[in-house]
Amino acid sequence: MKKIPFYLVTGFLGSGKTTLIKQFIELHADSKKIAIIQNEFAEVNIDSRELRETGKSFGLIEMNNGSVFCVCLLGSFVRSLADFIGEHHPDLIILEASGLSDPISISQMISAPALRNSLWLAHTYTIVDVLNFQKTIERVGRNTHQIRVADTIVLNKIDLAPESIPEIRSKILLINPFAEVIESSFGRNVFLAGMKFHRPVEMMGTEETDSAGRPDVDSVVIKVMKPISTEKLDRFIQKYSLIAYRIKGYATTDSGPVAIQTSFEHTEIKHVAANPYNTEIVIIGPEIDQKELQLEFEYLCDQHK
Amino acid sequence: MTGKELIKKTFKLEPTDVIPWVPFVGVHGASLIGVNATQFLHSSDNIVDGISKAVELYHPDGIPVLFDLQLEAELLGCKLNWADENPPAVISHPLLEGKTIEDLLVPEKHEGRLPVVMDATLRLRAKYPDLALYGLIAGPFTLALHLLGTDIFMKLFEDPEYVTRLFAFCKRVANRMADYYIEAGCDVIAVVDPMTSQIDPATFEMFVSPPMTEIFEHIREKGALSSFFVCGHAQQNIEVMCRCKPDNVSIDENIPLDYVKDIALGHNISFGGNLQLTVVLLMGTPEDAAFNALDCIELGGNRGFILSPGCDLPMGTPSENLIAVSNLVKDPYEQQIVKAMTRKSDSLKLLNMKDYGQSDKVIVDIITLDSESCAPCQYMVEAVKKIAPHFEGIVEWREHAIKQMAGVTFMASLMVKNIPTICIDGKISFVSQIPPKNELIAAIQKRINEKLKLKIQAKKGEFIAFCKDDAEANVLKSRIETAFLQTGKRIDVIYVTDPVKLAEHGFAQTPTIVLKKYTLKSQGKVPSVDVITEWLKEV
Repeated sequence: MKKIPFYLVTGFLGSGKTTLIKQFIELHADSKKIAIIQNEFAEVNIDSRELRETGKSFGLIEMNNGSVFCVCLLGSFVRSLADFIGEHHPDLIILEASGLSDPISISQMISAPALRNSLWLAHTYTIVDVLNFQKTIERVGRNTHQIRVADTIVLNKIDLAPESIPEIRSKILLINPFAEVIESSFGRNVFLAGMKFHRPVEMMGTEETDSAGRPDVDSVVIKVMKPISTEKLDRFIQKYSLIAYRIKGYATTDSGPVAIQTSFEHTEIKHVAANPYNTEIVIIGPEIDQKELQLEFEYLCDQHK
Repeated sequence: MTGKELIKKTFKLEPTDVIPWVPFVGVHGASLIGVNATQFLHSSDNIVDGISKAVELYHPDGIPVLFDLQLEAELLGCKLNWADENPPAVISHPLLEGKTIEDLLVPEKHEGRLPVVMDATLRLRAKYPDLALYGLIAGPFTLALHLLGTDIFMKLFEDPEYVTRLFAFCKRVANRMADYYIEAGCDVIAVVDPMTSQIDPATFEMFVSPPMTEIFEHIREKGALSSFFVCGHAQQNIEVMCRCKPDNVSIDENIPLDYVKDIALGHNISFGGNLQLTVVLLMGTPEDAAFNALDCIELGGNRGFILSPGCDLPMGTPSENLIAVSNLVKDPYEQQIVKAMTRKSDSLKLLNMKDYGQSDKVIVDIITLDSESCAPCQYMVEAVKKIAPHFEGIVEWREHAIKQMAGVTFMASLMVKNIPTICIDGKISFVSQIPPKNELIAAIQKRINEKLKLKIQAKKGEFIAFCKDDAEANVLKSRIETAFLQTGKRIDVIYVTDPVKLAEHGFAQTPTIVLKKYTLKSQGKVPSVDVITEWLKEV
């Protein structure tokens, strides 16, 4: 069975996530079976109403969790998502994560036994509201976290504060040196220009095709609290870069925190600003076992002591 | 020592022999008694039954009465969306719907679901006088989020005075809730404020620290213990959390336990956490849960540390995983076993034991932690030691202590999971329980009989007769023939008269008769080196 690509759209409160997804639906709902998961739950779901305005057909799952800011609420999400997939067989799934949710915990959920054979994490978008970025970035920790995990960062509402863009860009690069940063207003152009939603396969070195749903792709997250020596980290990354399509994330090393990115054998490791987070690495590749990798990484950390 | 005493001792930072264990059973209790989350949270009977079942299964030292951070919000006018498998979610925010902070009133005991919760607390208190009961209340930031929605994040910057007033109101609610729980008999009041993980220390100190410090002071004045629960990426805030002077801080898997330990103990505050909720407890195996619990115990240590999950247990958490944690936390032997087994990941090479136990003797292996330090192990070794002489050398016994790597390898190779275990000729025969003498003898005798049967079926041999000439050979031949007739047994006889061959064998005198016996050792597979070694010992 083909695996379904799973896209995470995360972003600050009011940054324009729903608008962005709406753009995507308008562009692609005629050719793809799209499923949207929303987890900002309100009495009247304004966000889902906005999506419905497109008049297009798509599946909608509403998570009954309010704001998923805690890992303890993700358990039932796994089951409802698995049920939905079994029933509707979408071509792709987009999760619009609430501004407060923890994107890494959501990514971890994809490797849950009930989901790992049907999903893989294809791409993570983080939407940044340039108007509020300066105010909140240092004070609201989750915002930093969402920037860390992004593959693509969309600077939204640029028309409202064009003069701040260069400074925002440089601040973002300090947190996440590997993300692609796109500028937009009202989410326009994001999918016209880059079509990222269709091209997660580019990181696997193939052309834009429907083969996004490769049967053999796994995405796993390893989370480790202990620091690792740079030498051991190199060894781990070198080993798995031969197998994995992509490794991305952050590690706490004996010489400070670093960001890691690989595509096949090309590896980049860069130092990033000190931060309160620990090692969080996403690995995408064929038949990867989360537990095995987690144990191996922990073992390498222990040798560091 | 009762659970309550253990928890109190831990809060006082006194070293303890065992580590206290507090599973945060919220709506997981519903799954234990077969009702849904909504039914559970609306009925004191269900809460009492669910928590009682958890106490029976998980043998905790302390347990929360309820884990529902929406309780206060509902009392203050937030609408809830009820679910089958989760606590409810807040879906409306009164302060966005025209109400002002001044319109909100601190909830009275008879309002909303409070009578249900208080009734459950009183009944659990009466039923479990020795257990530390936790009353959980929503922290000011989390309650404020419920009342105002996510607008609160912009308000932090745009209208700090408003936020301060709102938090002050939430503090009054928290204090009153603490009073209710303490009056109903709770020992520990946990202020749960996961929202604080979203902000930086400066914002925390500006808005959260003042009301929080007062809440903990209030709980102290009322004679109860306090805890500050947070979940999520709150590492940056542990220091400022401790400065609010709770008696305990409790964290989830997003923060390293040793990091929290250093800061908390530095402030003379106890700490708790941080079993992994999803990857391990919800999605993992009992073995994963035990490994994770051991990690926590080793990092946490036996002073000021309470083992608990990072947050509210997901409803569908398999009970086996929590039972594995509960077994481990109270049993130092189990901890050492799990510790020994974790070394498996250091590329442990297993032996091929498929042929084990093929030697003439019956081999009894006792897998122990180490018979000197583990009492059950010692008794098991003694039991075997005592009966071995009955078999007059046919039975050989060995102890394999898993404190040594060789013992771990042997244990894993025989697929032994419990300590102590007796294996007879490589077969797991007695697990954990020390067998009565007659049962142990019977089990060994049974194996001897099996082997004997095999031996009788397999016995073959031949004579090799070295003779100086045919004449000598013929005399011998007639005598051997007579013996064959008299015994009914017949085996091959080879006569060697060639002087060169005689010289090769080095027999100085003739006739020399050699009986060559064949013993069937294994069939149909290549034996392992270990097995061949065993056979060689017989020669």
